[in-house]
Amino acid sequence: MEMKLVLLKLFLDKLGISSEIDTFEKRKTIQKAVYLGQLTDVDLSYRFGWYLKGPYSPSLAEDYYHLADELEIDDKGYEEYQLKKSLSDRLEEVLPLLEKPKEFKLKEVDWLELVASYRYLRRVSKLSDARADEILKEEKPKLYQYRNLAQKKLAEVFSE
Amino acid sequence: MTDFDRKHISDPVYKTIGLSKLETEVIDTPVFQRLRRVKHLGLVSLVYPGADFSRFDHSLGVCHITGQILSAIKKANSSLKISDDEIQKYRLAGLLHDIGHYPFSHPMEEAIKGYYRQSFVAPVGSKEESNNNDKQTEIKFLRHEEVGREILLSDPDLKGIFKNSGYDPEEISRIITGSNFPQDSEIPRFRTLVASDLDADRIDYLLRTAHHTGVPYGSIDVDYLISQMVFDESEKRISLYQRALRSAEHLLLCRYFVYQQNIFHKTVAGFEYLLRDISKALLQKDLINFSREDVEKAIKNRRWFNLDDVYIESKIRKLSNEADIENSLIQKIDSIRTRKPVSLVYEWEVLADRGESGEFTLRKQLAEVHKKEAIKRYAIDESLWHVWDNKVSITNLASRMKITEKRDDDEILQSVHLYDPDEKMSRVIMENKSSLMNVMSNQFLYIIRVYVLLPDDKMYLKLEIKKYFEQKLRNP
Repeated sequence: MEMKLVLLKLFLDKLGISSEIDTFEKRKTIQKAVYLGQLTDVDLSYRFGWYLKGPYSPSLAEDYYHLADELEIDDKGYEEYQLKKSLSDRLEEVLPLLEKPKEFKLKEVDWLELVASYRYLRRVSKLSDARADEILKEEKPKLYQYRNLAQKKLAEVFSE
Repeated sequence: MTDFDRKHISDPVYKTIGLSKLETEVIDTPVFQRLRRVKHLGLVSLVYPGADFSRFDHSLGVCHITGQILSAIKKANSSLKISDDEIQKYRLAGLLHDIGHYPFSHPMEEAIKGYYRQSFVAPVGSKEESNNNDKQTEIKFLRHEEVGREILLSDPDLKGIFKNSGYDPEEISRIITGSNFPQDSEIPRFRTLVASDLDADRIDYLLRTAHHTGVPYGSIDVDYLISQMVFDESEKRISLYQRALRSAEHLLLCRYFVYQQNIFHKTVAGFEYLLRDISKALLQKDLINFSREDVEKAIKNRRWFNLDDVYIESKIRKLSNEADIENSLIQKIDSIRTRKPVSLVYEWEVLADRGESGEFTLRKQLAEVHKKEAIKRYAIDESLWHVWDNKVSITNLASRMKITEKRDDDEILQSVHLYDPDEKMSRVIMENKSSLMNVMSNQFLYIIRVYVLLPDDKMYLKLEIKKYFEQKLRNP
């Protein structure tokens, strides 16, 4: 198994995210989880742009399809490796952010989309809070109502 | 008003390329001139001797085509206001889109990624040395697009030019990479112009490759194609008028054939994996260093200018003169220098449905298993063998996918879209039931090859090894 796929698998396992991609929601979950995981400076070199459903990386998509093929025939090459402790410890920091709060009444994948999108708009796109809110309201109305919750969780995890 | 024909450069593909004053300043920088010494097609010239054009030539071509496309769109739709300023931005993006390529481009980048990624992991059960910080942390690296961004932002000469011109290098970088777009009215509306299935990069690449290799598969009807481009304002993308369906299909097929005939050519692929291994050895022996930290320093200190194909060739020469170099490495270096191709001892190619990757993945696994057996059987060093595989598709999306799923999945952005002027909307080409892509988009060409660099005293084994793999992999 190529090292990039080993890394991706170990990364996802550490975050508690499934490598399955048979549904759109599972693929979206991977996209947002990897985006958030990389914020801990464990950089797998996936770069994200803003697409319809928030931060998205085409090269990540290519790799998780590839990984799925390898796992389908039971290639367990990743089992020979473990993430280095320093990387593993860093990824631990983002785990609380991936957990859907009780107050959030939508699905877990929606929570990830909200947090990843909100973070992207404010930090990567460098929009003001007001403008980020506007975009969120316009493009993701069902998530908009929970934006304060996302902001609070992001602040807790990243001390923003 | 910007004069995009202030200076002219002769070009074998377009005859003449016009450049603005700003573009000339950019081209005259050492960091851009470096691209003359980075071949676009790497080792393809070992099979097609004429294919030695550089990233410099190609970058000028992409700038030119970008300008042509925007001019055509502007002319076709006078209500669509495209200022010279906006055209200049996209032309700069086209000009600078390859500025960050490593020497020898893809084989080197693959070696860099593979080498530095190993620093992220440790074997299961190993105890990491608690006092050795170097071994605990990973070594970061940059993809060539990120190197390009770093150059735009940090190269001292380019910084000065951008500062004086008023153009924002960060914005140019965003257009090139398609990422980090701010979500406001400044979204680059022609974001697919430099990177998508219908982009200036692809168009120039196909034409230039056809011209220089002598292989005509890349000969697209560029004038007609450009004349049929339209800006779909509702989707904010560049599409082709529906009537240009056959030209669009031809473009996609050309790319497929060019990749098959040139990049994935069996001899080229064989040489490229040798170069990748040699590059990895250069990294391991510290003869070259392309960690993120080193690349960033090289850019800031104007040393990136020297890190070209010639630099790597000199390091390979140095490596070959080292006293303790492995014999297998010497063989690989000699193979490239004397153009002694690697032997292809097994090849499997099947055009099959995208969903039928099971046999491909299984065969790949078995090829690895039998390779290990062959290593012992024929007593040939493990490092001289290589199992190569690839899945090639004509389009990135399949027509079979559900529409809603496809639309939501964000992967459609890159696809060629056909614009219906009556309905005033664009659809991905594979949705068109009269298009070849409706069928072909569901197919992958699966390829598996087994290569071995036979030592001179074992060349006689080639036929026997071929029969061995054929027998073992006939009916897996």
